[in-house]
Amino acid sequence: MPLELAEASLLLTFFNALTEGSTYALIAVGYTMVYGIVKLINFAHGEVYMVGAVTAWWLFVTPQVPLLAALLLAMAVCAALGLALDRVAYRPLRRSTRLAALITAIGMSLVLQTTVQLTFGAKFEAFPETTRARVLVDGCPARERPDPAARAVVTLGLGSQPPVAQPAGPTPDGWVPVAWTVDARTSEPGGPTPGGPPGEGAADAPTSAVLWVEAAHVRRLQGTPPALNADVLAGAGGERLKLPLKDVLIWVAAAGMMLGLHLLVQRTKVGRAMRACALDQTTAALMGVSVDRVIAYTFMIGSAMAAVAGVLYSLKVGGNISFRMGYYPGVIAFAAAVLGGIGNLKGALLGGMLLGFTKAFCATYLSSDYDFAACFSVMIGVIIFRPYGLLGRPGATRA
Amino acid sequence: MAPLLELDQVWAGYGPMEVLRGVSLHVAQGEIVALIGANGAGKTTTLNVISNVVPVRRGAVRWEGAPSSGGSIVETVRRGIIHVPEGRRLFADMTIDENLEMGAFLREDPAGVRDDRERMFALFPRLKERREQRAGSLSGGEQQMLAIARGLMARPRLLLLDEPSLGLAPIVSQQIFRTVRALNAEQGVTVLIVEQNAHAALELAQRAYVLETGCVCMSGVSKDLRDDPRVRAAYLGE
Repeated sequence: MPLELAEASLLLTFFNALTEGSTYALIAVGYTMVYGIVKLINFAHGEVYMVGAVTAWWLFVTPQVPLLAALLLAMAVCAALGLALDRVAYRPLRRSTRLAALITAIGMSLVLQTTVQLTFGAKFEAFPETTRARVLVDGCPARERPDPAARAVVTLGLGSQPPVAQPAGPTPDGWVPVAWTVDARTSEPGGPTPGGPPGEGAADAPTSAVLWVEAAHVRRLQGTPPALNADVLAGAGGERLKLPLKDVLIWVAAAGMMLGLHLLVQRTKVGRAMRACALDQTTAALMGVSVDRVIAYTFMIGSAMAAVAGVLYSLKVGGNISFRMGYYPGVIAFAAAVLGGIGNLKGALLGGMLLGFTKAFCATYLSSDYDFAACFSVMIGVIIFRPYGLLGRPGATRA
Repeated sequence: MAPLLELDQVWAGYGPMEVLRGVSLHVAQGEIVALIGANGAGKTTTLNVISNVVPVRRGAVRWEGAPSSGGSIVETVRRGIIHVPEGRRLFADMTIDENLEMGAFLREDPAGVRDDRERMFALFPRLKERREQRAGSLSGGEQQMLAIARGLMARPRLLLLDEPSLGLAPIVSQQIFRTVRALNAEQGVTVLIVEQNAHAALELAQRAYVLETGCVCMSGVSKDLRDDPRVRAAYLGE
């Protein structure tokens, strides 16, 4: 089915929204479960997501562990990390003021960031598989170029800057480099960009990257640049929409884990104990529930889910793995948990999706400069009218 | 033989406040014992000390002769001390079935748990009709029945009942008291009951302790206490 540019762009945005939403939901679940039981905002949770991605990346690249095994190991590492955070940082403060625990959480976040920075350095890394350049612009045929310059291709919103320059002539086989201003958060800054402006390597400043496109299509890029996503549009002849496999993987994983968690919480004895602890810890203990153990399970489950989010999302976007990667997803997922109704699992899913859609559609149709602002505006708007969140109830906190 | 439960000069409190100032009492296997007294006398705190919700500051709690204070709440549950707290404290968002399951949390015999649940439904038929409903949607009397049933699901050796008649219509509290008596007579459940309605408590219990500002000021067989002029004046409103 040939797609018009506008349609393709809408679909891509929709896919991105689902993917971002799934990622936020997977992270938000960790915030909301812990809050539901301990009434603590675990501000180190975004860092758990980061550690998950870094761990899997390191295992995949250095000892060359197969990807699935790396993912499972990263989940195990994060579960252990969640357990350790609770045991070392939060359990000793269980009976002190909530402010003390909150400050400790922020402290743990810094400790984890710095530890990773000191261990792995401050570079941005990517899963090698994602750096293979599969470039396609505006429906032109997919071509693979093992050229590192093409790594920078990720997603460009319609509102992105037009090409800043055409730095070099076509290659002998008819490919032309085009420099774009791209959002550094979703691409790899500082990579070798022959002919383009040198990458600054700064994380937040927009940087430039070079796309290679067939000469025949260059003219069509002179105006407003189309939404690009190398993975999404790469298909036979470039005219048929192919389901973006990595996105599908994220959707399936997120849906599967959310469903699994729902069944765990609703149908199993451990889940019942979690709900009981969320409702009334003393009474749960009077039933024989070891509250500390339930809290430990909660931290472990939430952390393992954050690891999945970190690994899968990094597989998709590429070039985002660094000690700082947990900050924005952590903050957005926290906002998602709050606006969905903190303590409520379905609220975390709903909030995550809402912010994923807000962010992706804002990036495509307004400006990617304002995508976070749009997310927080939505959150503030919801909180003004429903201070307890979309699915929360006044005064109620549930797991 | 040592009594099932014994409190020996127990002091306990919250922060700077001493609520219990040397409470001594005992409960023997198979008894119903009542704790009566005014608000703030320390009745609920006494039960909280027995189930380890509140730590003992001085003195000792002994279970079958061995010290039992200082451990966790869960340890007392394992011993068979089941505390049905004041105000029911049901898991309001969970169904009646789930609340009963929570009561049997430590039990490892699913078949026995199922049988006991049916027994609870026989005891409280109202609960069976609503087993899939949220516990929070029940009436006060039904909630109290569920709270007791949830406690019984653990097969208690000692049932601690805190104000089971609070906020209930007289006819409903009578039904609750009848049930407690039947449980004691037919199944041999030992009961320590805290009750503001001294009349009903002295009817139900074989023995009673009267608590006043953290001390046991009187104790004895219910019949004697009922006839004591001081008790009649202070607690029976005569």
